[in-house]
Amino acid sequence: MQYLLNGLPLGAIYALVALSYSLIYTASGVLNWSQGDMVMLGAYLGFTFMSLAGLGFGPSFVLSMLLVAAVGVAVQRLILRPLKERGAPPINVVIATLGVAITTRNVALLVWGPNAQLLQSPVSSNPIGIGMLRITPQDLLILAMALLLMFALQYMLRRTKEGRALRAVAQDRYAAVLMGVDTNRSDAVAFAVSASLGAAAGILVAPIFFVTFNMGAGIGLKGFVAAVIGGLGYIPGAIGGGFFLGLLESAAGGQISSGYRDVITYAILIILLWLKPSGLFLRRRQQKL
Amino acid sequence: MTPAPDALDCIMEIRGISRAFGGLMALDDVSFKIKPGTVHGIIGPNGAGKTTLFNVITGMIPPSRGEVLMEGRPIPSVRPEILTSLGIARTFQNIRLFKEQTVLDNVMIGQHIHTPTPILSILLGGRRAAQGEAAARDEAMRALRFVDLGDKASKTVSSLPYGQQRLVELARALAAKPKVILLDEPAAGMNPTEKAHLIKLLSILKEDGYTIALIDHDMKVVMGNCDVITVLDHGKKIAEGTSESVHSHPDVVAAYLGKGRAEVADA
Amino acid sequence: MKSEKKHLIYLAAGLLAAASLPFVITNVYYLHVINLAGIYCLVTVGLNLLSGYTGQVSMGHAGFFAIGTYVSALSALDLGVPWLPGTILAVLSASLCGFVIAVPAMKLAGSYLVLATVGFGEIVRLVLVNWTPVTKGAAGLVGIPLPNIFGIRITSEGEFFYLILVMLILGAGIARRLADSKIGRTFIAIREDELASRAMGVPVDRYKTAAFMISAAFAGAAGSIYGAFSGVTSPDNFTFDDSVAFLCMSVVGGSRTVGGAVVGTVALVSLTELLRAFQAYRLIVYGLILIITVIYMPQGLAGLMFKKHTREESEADS
Repeated sequence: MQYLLNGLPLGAIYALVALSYSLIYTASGVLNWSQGDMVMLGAYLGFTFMSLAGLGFGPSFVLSMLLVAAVGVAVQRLILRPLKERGAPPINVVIATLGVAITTRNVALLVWGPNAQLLQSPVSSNPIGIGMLRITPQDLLILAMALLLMFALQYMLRRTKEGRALRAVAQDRYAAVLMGVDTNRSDAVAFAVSASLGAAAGILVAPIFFVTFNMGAGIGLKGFVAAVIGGLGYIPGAIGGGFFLGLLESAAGGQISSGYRDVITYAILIILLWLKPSGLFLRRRQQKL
Repeated sequence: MTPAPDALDCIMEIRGISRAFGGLMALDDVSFKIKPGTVHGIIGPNGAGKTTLFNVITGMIPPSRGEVLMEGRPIPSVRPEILTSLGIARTFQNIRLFKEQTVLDNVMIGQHIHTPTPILSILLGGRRAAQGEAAARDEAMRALRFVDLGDKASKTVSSLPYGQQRLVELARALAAKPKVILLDEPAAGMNPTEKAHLIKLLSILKEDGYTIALIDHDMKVVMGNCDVITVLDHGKKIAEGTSESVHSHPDVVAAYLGKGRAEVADA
Repeated sequence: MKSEKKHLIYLAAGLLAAASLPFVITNVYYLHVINLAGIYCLVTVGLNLLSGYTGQVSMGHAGFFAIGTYVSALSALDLGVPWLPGTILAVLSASLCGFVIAVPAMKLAGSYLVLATVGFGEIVRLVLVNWTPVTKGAAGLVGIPLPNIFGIRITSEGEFFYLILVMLILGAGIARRLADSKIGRTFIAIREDELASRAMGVPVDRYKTAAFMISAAFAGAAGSIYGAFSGVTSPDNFTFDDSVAFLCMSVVGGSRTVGGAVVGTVALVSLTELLRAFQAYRLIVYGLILIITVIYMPQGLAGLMFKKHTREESEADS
């Protein structure tokens, strides 16, 4: 039970990052490898606003989400658009976003230095007991904020004009174009929303892990794993995949061996890919002939 | 090179094939036989199940029920890679060539099962590999010259116009030395000259003893050149026979013109 | 025929130039970098056969490279196996892993395949870190013996240079032969259209497995020389970033030719060295160059050179 509880906040973080991968994948049809570094950017910006500029947690949270969203749009405008206009193969998009990741990471190193920074949590990290179980207020904050963001995303996708355009493009890009949807705009929206989700995950996770320039690599990879487990491009699947991975890691780390925890994660991932290539939560897609 | 028409009265038999997609019956208990050395047309309005039938025959999708026999033996489903060794080769409705390869390489892939793969000789740059390649190249060139594309051999496929790409696909299928060639809308996207050329090629292939099954919308291609025509509508076989008998079949007229018009015509 | 002769002359001139490098470059450090580039080159050549030709993109090649290094080094350290048989062991082990990863990979494409290969690379690294009794864990191996091939001991950078050059020529030669044969043609067909390949009788699964095994074998051989060359090794040398580096060399150089692997490796290694003075900005520039390459030169540097070459030829013809 306690492992389950420990896995939840981690799962929430993974779910947010997985959502950011899935959203871009479904809306733009590309794999954006720089998502992990948006997490890192969000964490650093949050740290800067709180510790250096003395802003509160709330304003810092919103400000860094907005700033990272702008970075997301820049990536779409400067990199994805020219690639799409040239009809580049998908793997080239992956490599270009890898380039973004490397660049972002090292700009962060230049700006914030190589030392790990600690983001002070707005709530205490002393565990509180609920019966036999213990959970920290920070964990509760992560869960609450993550759920809030997931609902906000759902609202945005269902109720707003931009969100509907995104969903239309995700279903049938060609038809959406015929209906007058500007796919460049919807791509930009997807990149902005995804980047800000990543940033949120960064600020939320920062008080538990330290903030470092290369924190994005690990979290980004795990988030991608979660997205694939849930079925890449399937929004509810990304959330399910994130929590599944968080719980799995918590259980594997606690029950078996912390050293082999990630080995188990990746082994399960490969077996899962092999047996159910379209994810845990999605029925096998019909192959189009 | 040319397979002799044997004494069998049927080279391929489609036996009670059904295929459902979700709730929709794309094919509903379809049976017919293809006689060796004939050109067998399969026609029907859009969505009649023609391409699905080809995909079932070639093992790209499994049937819900029924089986396909090639020379009396059932064709295993979902194993398209053994087709050519059974003597079946196909083309695709939406042209599936290896676009970044040369025309010649495309046709040489068609011969895959007929050419050796002497790994040691390849690694050592030996004579066997070189001779194998030379023989394969000659054979492929013969198929390309047959479709009048000998001069395009070194061109990249994606640089060719649509009609010529269809012919490359035909040459690739021929290179597999099949007994039965399945052509999925071979004339689609061709101009009248190219169509006439294709029809001429088909009649030569028939004379050479090949069995050809083809799907087409173009009545000119089908009616004048097919010995037998099977008509599908909504996944069911509604008529079969020579072009004259099919042409005047009331169900066929109804299927093509819509029920209302047919009733008017009947009255 | 004439162009073939010209080609041979270029090749001979290039080889002669390469072979004389140790006499021209007397700085041991530069020679060391060149040797490393040669080893990476061998990995990238194998990667191109898999990713460029067959279209099976791998982001886990550091895993195969690691297996080659550790198998060869451990069999030398623990069992006293000489370098050459150790290399054969390394090649076989890496191929075996290629075979194992090919089983799930056969059913996957695109991003899913990429992820499976990432998972493979990470598993290898994590096992190296955690299987302490055998691999000595994160601390890694020290004192890996120098190669001794039929009594010829390879000790200096210059001697390593020739050993690596021979391996590279052999590897590139094998890759070229494969690429220009029926096997290479079939690899490309699978990349272009898997279903159509199947319909034409190509046993796609078998060819994909072969591509994985061949590609892994190249990385395994490179790993074997890497361990002996470095003398020490640890799991840190085989991270995801290293897999990415191999893929970048492949794409920047041009993944669809064997020569592209050489061009890409040389370009990226020299770039890293040129930027060494600007330590802090080095990786930033590296990242930007990656982005610019895939946007403006999708066929890689080799694609660019090749295009220019054919244009010159057609001008000469007319």
